[in-house]
Amino acid sequence: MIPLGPATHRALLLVVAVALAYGLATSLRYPSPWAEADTSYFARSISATIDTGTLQEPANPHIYPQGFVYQSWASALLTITGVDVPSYLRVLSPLLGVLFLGVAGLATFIRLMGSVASAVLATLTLFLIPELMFAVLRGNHEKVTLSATLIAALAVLTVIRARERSLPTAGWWSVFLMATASAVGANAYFGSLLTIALAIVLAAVASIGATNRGLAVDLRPLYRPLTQAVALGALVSIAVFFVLYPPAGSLLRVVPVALTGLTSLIEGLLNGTFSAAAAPYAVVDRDWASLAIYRLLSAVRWLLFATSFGVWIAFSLQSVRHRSLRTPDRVLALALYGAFGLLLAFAIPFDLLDIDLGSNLQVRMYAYFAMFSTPVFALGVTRLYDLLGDDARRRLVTRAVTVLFPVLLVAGHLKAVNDPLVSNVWRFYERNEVQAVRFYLEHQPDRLRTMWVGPDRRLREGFYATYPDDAIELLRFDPSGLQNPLAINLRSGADTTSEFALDTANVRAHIALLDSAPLAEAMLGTIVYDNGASVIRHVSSEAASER
Amino acid sequence: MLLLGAMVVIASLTGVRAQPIDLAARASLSCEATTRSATRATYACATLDSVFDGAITIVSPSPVAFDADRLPDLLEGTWLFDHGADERIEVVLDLSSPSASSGAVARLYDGRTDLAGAEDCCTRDDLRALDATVSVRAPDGWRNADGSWSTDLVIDVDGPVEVIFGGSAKLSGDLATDGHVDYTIEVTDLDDDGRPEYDVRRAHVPDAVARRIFRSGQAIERSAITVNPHHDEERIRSWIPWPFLGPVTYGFLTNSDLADNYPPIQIDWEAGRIVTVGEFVRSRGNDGQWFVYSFDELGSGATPNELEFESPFAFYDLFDADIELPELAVRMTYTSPGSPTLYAGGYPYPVSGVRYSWIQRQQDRFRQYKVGLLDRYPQDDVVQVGPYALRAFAPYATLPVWVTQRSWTGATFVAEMRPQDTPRGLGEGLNAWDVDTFSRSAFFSHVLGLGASAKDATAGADEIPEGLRGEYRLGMTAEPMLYRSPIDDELHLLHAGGGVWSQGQGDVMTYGNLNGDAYIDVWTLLERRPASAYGSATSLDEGADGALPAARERLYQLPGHLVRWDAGGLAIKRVATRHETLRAPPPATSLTWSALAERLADGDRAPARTTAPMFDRFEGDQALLRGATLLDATHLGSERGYAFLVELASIPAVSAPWLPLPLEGGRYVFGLAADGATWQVEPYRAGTLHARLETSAPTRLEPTRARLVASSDGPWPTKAHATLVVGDQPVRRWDPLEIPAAGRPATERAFTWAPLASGLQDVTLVDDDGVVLARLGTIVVAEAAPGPDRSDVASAVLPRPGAFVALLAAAVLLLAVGVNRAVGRRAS
Repeated sequence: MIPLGPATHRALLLVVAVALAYGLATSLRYPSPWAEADTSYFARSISATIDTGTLQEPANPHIYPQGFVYQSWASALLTITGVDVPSYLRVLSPLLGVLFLGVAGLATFIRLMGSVASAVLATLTLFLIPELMFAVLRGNHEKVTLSATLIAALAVLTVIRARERSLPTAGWWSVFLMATASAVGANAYFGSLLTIALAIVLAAVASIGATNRGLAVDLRPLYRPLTQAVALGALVSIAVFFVLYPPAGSLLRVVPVALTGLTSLIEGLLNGTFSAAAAPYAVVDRDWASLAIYRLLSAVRWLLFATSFGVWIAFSLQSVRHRSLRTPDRVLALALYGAFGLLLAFAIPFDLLDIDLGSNLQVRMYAYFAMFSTPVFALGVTRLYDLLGDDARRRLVTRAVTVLFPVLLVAGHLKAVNDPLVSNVWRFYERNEVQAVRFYLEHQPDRLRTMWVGPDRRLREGFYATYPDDAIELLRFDPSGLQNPLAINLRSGADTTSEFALDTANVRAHIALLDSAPLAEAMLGTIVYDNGASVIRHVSSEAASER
Repeated sequence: MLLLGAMVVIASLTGVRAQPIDLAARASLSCEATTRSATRATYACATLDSVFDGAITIVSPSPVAFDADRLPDLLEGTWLFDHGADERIEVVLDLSSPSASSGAVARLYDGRTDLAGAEDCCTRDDLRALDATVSVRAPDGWRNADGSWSTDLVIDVDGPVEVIFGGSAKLSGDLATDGHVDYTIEVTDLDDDGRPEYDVRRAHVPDAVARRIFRSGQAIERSAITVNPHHDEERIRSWIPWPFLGPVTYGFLTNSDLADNYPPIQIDWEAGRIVTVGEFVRSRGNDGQWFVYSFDELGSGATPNELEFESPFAFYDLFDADIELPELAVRMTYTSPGSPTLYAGGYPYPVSGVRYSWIQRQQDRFRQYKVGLLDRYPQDDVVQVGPYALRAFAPYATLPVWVTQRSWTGATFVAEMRPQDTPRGLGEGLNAWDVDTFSRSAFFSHVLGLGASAKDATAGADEIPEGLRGEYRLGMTAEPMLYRSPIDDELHLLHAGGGVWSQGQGDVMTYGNLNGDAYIDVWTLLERRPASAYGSATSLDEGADGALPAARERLYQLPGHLVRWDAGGLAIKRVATRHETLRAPPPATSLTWSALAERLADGDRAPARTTAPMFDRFEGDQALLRGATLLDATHLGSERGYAFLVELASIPAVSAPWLPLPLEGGRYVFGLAADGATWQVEPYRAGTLHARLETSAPTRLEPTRARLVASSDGPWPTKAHATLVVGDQPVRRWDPLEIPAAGRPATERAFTWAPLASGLQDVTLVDDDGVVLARLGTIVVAEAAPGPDRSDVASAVLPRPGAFVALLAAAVLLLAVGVNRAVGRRAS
């Protein structure tokens, strides 16, 4: 059902090559490893799954409540290959993430756009979007949910095409079921997004079909497969939520909270009394040393958004006014873009209301929206190209795009992994630093004392990701309510409550680079551990006794 | 029923006596045959209390003459127990003697829903196809040569049965009757008299399960060893002709209230389950036995087993050999070097803890005492239990002496303050203020040198259960030693730093050591606290203003004097008192126990709940300052003696030539010379605080060492909630800052500080309201040198960017080619 000629082979080769180069560049960006919150969480979850051989609490002390597929898959992969968890997360995981996205994107976009060249353009555009690339580079489930979402969309599109030609569809329905189950099983919420988007598409298509009977394309053949896809997707979600993985059912607790919040938001907006419970956009000020550079590196987001939205509006209006849409694929490309755009818009009030569905829902949702915006973006570019009359102009556009894309790729890559140059959120760490953390946790006198490890979570996450087994073991008596023995102190630098402090060149530099931050007082405490590069200091016992 | 069993266990552990079960009634079984044939008979049987009330069917492989009203002594055959006579067989007991060499075997099956009713059940082949829950093997047969029941037994348990105390609850969900032996019990009777000496239990827990439970914050006891060195275990009382299966569900422990030894294999007849295989050798119900519960697996090799946790828990008979209640319980806890159970394996030394509890006779009454001890002693000795060599601190017989004649770094002492008319069971002794839980383990941490301060280590010293008095000793390593104070006639811990007695109904007496010597010298009856305040972490060592805690009465034992204050005034009495009327270690033998009892009998009286009886029992020349208020007391050092800050409402009308009293009311300092010979009274005057800040070359944003030096020219030490302020920056707060009296060494407080601003800075010491307590002058703070640049960090992190740049360039190149061709193809 997908054209498998030489053009497709060449396109696949190209996408794989770009993905490998991109992924390896990320893996080798530093000689030292890096980690962030989700990566370290899944390091522990995968490790616990391998160790216990189960996904169920309490035998498994570190489950991921929103899903089970990624850690099962990763633990199986690592058990078979013998690769250890930190190496997988540092080297293999970014590579696999980019490869999955590239290959799934190419296959889906060929089906969606009907042209290998356009699909290549759309697929390569994926690599320009830093938010999307970061999602698949880091060590969490999103490489599975995003690529499985694309494959499930591919299956629906192929079913629709097969039905037009009276070809059998059972195989592709199986693909749809497996891909949807993988996505939902990896993350019950984000994995269900395609089903919700397809429901929106179905509603839109049905209403357009009912009210605009003069369309050039007959939308009725879409009704049945879309309805079936929505029904199957919903069944899969229900099965995961309530039967296969009941911990994911805890996500549903957010529903009444969201409804209450949305009601109050609407009332507040109507009364003029609304005030946001959170400031989701403020993190940019906190996390970036230079807003100008941040905006520059984020340019592709707005370029993509503006272009794709313009194209979407233009094509949609055109289709209504001039009935120019001639294929169901084109209808679906536009409809999926609109549906994911609507879902992204819904994320805004969630973030303003500070409803917990992952930290900063808009950022998480943007990855899914961006994925379905690249075909629309590519449609716009090719359409523009078609509209240009002479070859000279077309060559000019070709050259411009040939230059612009690499520039945007470098900018996007820098945005995803630029620390410590511009971002204040550092992700790199060095072995000697996490060794010191490990030593502290192994020798901590009791849970009443903490060690300050710097102004952000860098070394906490680094330790978790490097020593996932130890992290579970050493922090096993860490029920909520007890403080984390590794204290962090955003921006203020000086921690006055910890009895120990980690003193490394990177920690000192990090504090010094943050505004108005004095060095931690504890940094002149007695050295109680020294591994040659990282030092643990103990605050004077006199100061401790004064508290 | 299980709940009842659990209650009995809990009661036995906590020393609280539950309403005893009428075990005798339960164990008396009357039967009457309902059907009889040559090889099969069914009896309707019931215990007196109907715990078992149903049918027992006996199937014999060979003809038997069944009696009409008596169960046969059949040890070769199958016994079917049908509680309720509902045709549902709860338990099957299959007794056989496969061969002379393999001895006798009993297999017990429970919880089977796949067995036919008693009419058709069960051929031996039917049973052999099933997994037995409990299999008992007697290698030498069921009977000893003297006719007693053999207790040389090997027992395999396969299923959710309580075999090691608390084990089945922790292993809930992991145990099933599945053909895999979960526990093995080896019972040994050294002298073949039906009174076993060893009961060794091993749990066969898969490592993965043990790890999982460990991660959940618990640990599985994998080994349980009980030894009766006195060879005086009770013989088992039988209920049916095979003696080890009984109707009584008394739980796991044969506790000290149950001297009789009931059959250890216990059934919940309602549920139809074997619930417990109890002890063949009692762990607690005797006065001459010891046991080990350990997280470690027990090996039978030549290398002695190093067993962690309760290793051992030993009980001793110090008094009246006729009763089986132990008077001494020594609970040793042991953690091996690098044990994963302590600080995740990061502590490289052994840890040895002791709960040394004993019941002491004092005249005709009995009180329980406990000494808690902590140190780093290894287990240097080895004892042998059958084939198992165990590391030990000392052999059972000498363990009490080993404990009491050894120096320990940390010590606590707990006394029951309500004497009992009759000796009670010790249970597991007094667990309040155990060394590992006192003060939320900070005591443990401090004693082991793991960081907790001495202040933290005693932060819980005001929390003790009602009716108990606790004292603690920190800061010195010494043998546990007790002394009796002539002031309150109570036993105290020598060198105690302080203590507390929770009297009940909100009354609390605290104990202090004003001069830091070996003896308690301050008794304080606190203001009555509401009952709800019990157990709170409210500190007693300071009042809201940093001075003495709110009190109703105080009593001081000083050289040659007793000083007592209450709402009526301040009384000073010249008396000749000693610090101790006896000194003795905790008793370790019958001899020392009796000697201590004898010495305590002299002058023993009920504990005084207030300070008045203590003060009044001494005769002497007394000065009573009516209406005087005692504001504070302090020890000025071994040369200068003691001082009291006293508010006199009026001119005291007393005649005491040795006390130079003032001529008008006001606030005075009463000073007592170190030898107690003279008093000196002088008016109190507020001193002026003198303070300075010592630091060198402070630089903005750079941590720097500094020292505050504070003194006063006043006659009385004071405390202040003081904050050091440099410029606008609060640098450090002391809560409180103790400022000594004139002539005493100045208070010095060193600290590290990073100035936030540069330039000339004023330095002040202010109180919590911002009132300036002292001006310390000015200091100059230098500007900070510029910090590192981001590119410095980046170049350090990315020293060789070649591979990264090359790969990114490759991605860029490939992308450019791809885009060019993709767009260009549209053109073509």
